[in-house]
Amino acid sequence: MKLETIIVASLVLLGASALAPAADVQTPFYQANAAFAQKDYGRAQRDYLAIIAQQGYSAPVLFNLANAYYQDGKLGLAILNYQRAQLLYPRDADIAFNLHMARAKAGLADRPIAWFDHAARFFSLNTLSWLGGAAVLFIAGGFVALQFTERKRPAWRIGMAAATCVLLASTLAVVLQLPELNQAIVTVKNSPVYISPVTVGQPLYTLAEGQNVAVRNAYGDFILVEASDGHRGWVKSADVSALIPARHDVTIASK
Amino acid sequence: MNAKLTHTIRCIAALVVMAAFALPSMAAQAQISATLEPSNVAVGEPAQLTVTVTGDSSDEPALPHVDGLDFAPMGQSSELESINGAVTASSSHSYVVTANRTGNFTIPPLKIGQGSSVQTTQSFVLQVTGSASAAAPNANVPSAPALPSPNVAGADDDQTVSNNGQQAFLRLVTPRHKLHVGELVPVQIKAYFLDGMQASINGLPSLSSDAFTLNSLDDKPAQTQEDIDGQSYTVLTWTTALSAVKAGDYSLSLELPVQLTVRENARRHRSSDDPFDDNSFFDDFFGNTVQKQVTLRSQAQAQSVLPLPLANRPDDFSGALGQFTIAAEASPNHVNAGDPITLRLTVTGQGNFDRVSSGLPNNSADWKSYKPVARFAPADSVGLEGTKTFEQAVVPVQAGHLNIPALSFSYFDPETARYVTRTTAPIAIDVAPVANQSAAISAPPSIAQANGADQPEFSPNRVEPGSFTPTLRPLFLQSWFVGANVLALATLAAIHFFVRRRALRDRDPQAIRARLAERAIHDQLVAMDSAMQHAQTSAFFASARRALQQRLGERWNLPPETITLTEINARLNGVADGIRPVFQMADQVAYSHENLPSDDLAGWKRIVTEELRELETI
Repeated sequence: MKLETIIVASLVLLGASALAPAADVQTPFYQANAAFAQKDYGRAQRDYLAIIAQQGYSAPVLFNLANAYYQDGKLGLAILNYQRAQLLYPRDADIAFNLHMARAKAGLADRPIAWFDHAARFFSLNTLSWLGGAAVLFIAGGFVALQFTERKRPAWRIGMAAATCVLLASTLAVVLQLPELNQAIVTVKNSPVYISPVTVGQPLYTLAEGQNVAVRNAYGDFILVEASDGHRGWVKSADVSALIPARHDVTIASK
Repeated sequence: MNAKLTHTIRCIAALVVMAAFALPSMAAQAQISATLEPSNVAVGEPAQLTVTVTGDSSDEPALPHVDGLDFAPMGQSSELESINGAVTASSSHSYVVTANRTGNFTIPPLKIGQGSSVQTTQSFVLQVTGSASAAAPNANVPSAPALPSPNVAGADDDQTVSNNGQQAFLRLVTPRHKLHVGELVPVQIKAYFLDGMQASINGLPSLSSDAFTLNSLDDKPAQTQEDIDGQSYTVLTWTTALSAVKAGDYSLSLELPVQLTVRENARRHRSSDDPFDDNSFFDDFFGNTVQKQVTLRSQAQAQSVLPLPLANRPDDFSGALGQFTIAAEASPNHVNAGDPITLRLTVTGQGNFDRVSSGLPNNSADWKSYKPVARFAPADSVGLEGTKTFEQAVVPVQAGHLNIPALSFSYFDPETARYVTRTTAPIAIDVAPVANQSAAISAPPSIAQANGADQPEFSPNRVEPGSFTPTLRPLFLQSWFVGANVLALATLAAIHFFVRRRALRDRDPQAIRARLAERAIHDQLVAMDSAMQHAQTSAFFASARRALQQRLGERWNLPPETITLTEINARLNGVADGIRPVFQMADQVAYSHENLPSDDLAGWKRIVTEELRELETI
């Protein structure tokens, strides 16, 4: 390649990178942040939800969306999206702090987390999936490699042992986090809990906004939930949102 | 066939008619009504506000805020009524309204629903005077029932079953006849039915006086048997709690609507002189039974309701009556500034827990506090005894040795007729500073304002959107990830299988011998070509013989050098006849040193090659 060609290509790349920030101003994320800065939290929420609907989930978008809900006084939805952001960035201090503030504002104490659960959440479930998958492939590949190599067999065996440890640790961490998959968050103020999936009759008790519950069953417009104290009851499915939605959950915008 | 069809059509028509009547009533718009009794009270004396919501609505009316008035929920009851197929649901919410000063207070209309479906009540005026005697001039006179009477349908309302008849009667069992306003007293309501009597209950027991309220009653009362004056009765017992809402001397009784099945033959006149006139057998056999809607009423009891004394009333008194103990704890005791602490206040004892409120701290220079959450764990079926726990999140805003201030709780003890204030000890908390305290607790205004955050403790927005993922479902639950891993594993397994297979084949002695033989044959063929080029006839045939020995040795599993012409003749009976001339020619040129032309050697080369190929099949 000629020197002139390299220089021209470099200049083109430099020019493109210099123009990039100007293009970012037009991005939906920037516009949503701008609405947030102007305290137009309703528009910011709609913009963030539109980003999620079009591009998928990202921890920063979920975090900013939760902030918008927090500022708008929708603490249940704020807690829901902080926890969703934590699924992607489990060690992020900002997410943890704002989640704590939202729970405190909703009158909820922080959920007690045992040390082993805390350790299990060092990596996200996706990272653990990659680690486990890579470990499995490394172990399987090691068995193949041992057929070819003679002199490097000890190194391969050490590597396979390490991969086995990674596989066991990631599997254990995933198992410890499995209950999170059934979690849902109350998104309305004082959701009544009934003894059966009908609204006739006195509620057993009420669930506070932002409270975490485990989903155990569903019937019609009701779901059977279990609170952290072990109490069970039926609540209207519209009153709670699953921590892990089946698809892009933008319907909560209408709540 | 026609009869069946007609019957089916009739059934469908009946269902359609029933649905036509029932559906509009089920879908009827909610309606709200309210009563305030009495409308004239003294300071500190309660009035009862009852809000009834009828129709398809589960909303609880929002309580208004009236300066000087305190609204405390007393309970809620629901009712489903079906009249001629029309089903009506209604729920009643009761509140105790107390005033902390004199004057005329206007309670604005209560409302339910939103938008165009808003329903409102009328407004109420509560006149509050300075003394109890002025507010209740007729307190000594039992007031007439102001609450709606139970629904007793039919024309036999006057046929109340009296207690003297001993067939069915109602009793209210109370532990004492003197109580304070707001005090919760356990009571038992017993309905007695003579054995053999057919009766069904059409509702729950209700009070005939608006000066008292009952806790919610169970739909399924306890059923026992009792003998009274030699007669056996079936007894239905409700255990609940009674509470007085206003001071004075009252007559307290209960009503219970029931449906009895009685016989018409008892009315027939009979002549006592005729011994055959006592034909109870025929009466029992042929008598007609009719169903009567009647109302059981208990004997009126005198109840004296004492007002709560105004003297020495603590400022934080919220209306709790009973005997209570309190305890407070905070965890953890060692935190960093900005970390939350859970403050827990536990009130244990016996009394009206619905009026037990928390004395948890508000915001201060040292603490930022949040709305507490209350949880009540009853220790009995009535909810008279138990433990009420208040949990509050508090956050230290600065480092140091801080104290959560002492918590207090005041109640009125009806046994001693005195106010009691319980106080906990202050709780010491060690609060360590944190490096990023300024960022976490009091973020610089520039950052917070730039992101539109009002709260200083709020972590600001992200400016980069980060990487996106189409779903929050973990990868190990996604089919493509599982499929890719399975595919990769299958590929590795296949590679492993083929490699292992080849290794096994390489270790097979016969395969090794064949491979070595093939290599040796190849070397001999190369040597034959070289000898042919250099016209070395004896070397050519020596190589040709060795090539054939290699092939035969590999096929016969013998050392190649042991293959001789004799061995060939013995084993190759009429097969591969071209081999023998080669061996014979090799012996011949070895001894005669005869040289053959290159063309002849090329011909012998072809013979040897063909024989080698032919020997692969033996």
